[in-house]
Formats: sequence, C-alpha cells, structure tokens
Amino acid sequence: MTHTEAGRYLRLVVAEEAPRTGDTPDSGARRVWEIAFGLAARRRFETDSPLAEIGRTVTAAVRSAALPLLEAEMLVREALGEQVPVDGIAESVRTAVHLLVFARLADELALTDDELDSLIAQAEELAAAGISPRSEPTGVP
Amino acid sequence: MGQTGTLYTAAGRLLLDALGEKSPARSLSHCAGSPGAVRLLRELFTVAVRRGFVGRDPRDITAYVRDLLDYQSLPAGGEFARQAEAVMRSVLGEPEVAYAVSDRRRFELICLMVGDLVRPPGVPTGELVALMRQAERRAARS
Repeated sequence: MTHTEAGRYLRLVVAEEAPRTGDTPDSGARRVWEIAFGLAARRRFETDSPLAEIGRTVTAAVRSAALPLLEAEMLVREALGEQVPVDGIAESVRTAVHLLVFARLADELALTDDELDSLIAQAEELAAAGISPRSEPTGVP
Repeated sequence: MGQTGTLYTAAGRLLLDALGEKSPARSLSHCAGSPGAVRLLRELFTVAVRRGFVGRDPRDITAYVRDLLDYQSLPAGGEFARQAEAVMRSVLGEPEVAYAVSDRRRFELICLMVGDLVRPPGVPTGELVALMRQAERRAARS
C-alpha cells in the first residue's frame, strides 16, 4: 500500500525506525497523524474506559520522551470525545504525543501490517477530505 | 502545639479566619508568610480532596475543576485547569502528574480550592471542623 510521506513516516514511527529530523512537520502531516491517533485511540478505548487504563498506555508511550503525562492523557481523552482542558498545549507536544501514543496503541492492539496500513490510509483519506473524525464531546466530563 | 476541645492552633485560627472573609482564596494566599499556616493549608487541601474524591472516577475531578474555574471566572480550558487537576490528583496517589507544577502555582491553586470549601452553601460547619482537626493532626506529625 502506498502512503503519503506523512503516512510513511507514521509507519516508521510504529516500527521504531523513524529518523530523527530537525524539520518541522507541515500542517498536512500533523493532521494525518492527529487523525490516525484518534482512530487508534477509539479502537483501543471506550469513551468511559478507566483513566488508570488510559494512563498506563500514555505512561508507557511518553515516559522515555520526557513528555508531560497529563497533557498526553488529556489528548487521548479529547480524542475519545471528552470535554477536557487542552488549550495551549504546544504544537510540538501535540505532535510528539500523536506519534508516540499512536505507536503504542498500534502495539497494544497488535495490529497486523495490513491493519496498520489500512488505518493509516483511512487517516490519510479523512485528512485529504478535510473531515474531522473526532467524536463529539460526550456527557462524560 | 495541638488543640484542646474546639481550640485550634494559631495556624488553624488563621486559616479559619481567612475562610470567613469575603474572598477566601485571596485571604488564604495572604497566609503565605506563615510557614505553619502554609503547612496546615497543604494538609487541609490533602484531607479535603481525599474525602471528596477518593474512590470516585478521576473524571469527576475534571468536572469539579471546570465548575470551580467557571465560578471564579477563570479560564477553564487550558493550562490552569490542567494544573489544578494535576495538583488534586497528586494527593490521590498520582504525584507524577504534578511534577511540573511550580510551588508558587501549586500554592495559588491550593488557596483557590480550599477557599472553595466555603462557596455557598459551603461544607457544613461540623465537616469543616473535622477537616481542620484532621489537617492539624497531620501537620503536627510532619
């Protein structure tokens, strides 16, 4: 399956083979990653999944990158449709969380290569179509 | 050091006086110059949060913080709210989520949340007395 450059990079992140670059990703790439992150989060968790369970995933994903735990947890909860305080989270933190937590979620879901390709392709299609798959905020605070 | 009957320590009386003021959070923040009052305030915050939220879904904290900040006309959608949730969760067994919160901001948030104990209708007097006594015992042990 042929992916966009952003999709190919995401694939490499999951395989832990992504090169470290100093380049700032463009908004299109960030959009693909954000959507893929949301799709994976909603495949892995229910909207009312225990925060302890979400926290374990987040901690495992971002611990080595020294990213803020609570911000990462909030981004997952936002992707699940919760109304949470996410204003002002730096773009660099958002991007890193989207990439690293996506990789962790793919691992926890034990996605096959085909499933992973399909999920990334879905994110690329949604990004290209300008569609936000984000859940509407639920009654869950 | 301790209290007898209904008598509190000087720090306890200072905090109770502040809680009786028109702007409790601001009045509590004026206690910053008293190490004993600051220590007691931290303990009061700890016991109040634990009594209110232990055993509950942590999402209740998110909702509480939003309600508190809305009531205080403070921004409820960004970093201040995250820090408030972090400080609360730090006394519920998740200290790691608040490591990045500065001592100054932590104190500011504690004043805000302890002051909220008397937001109308406020916790019953007996409950406040019990919280203060428990906090004083903890402060005396520390």
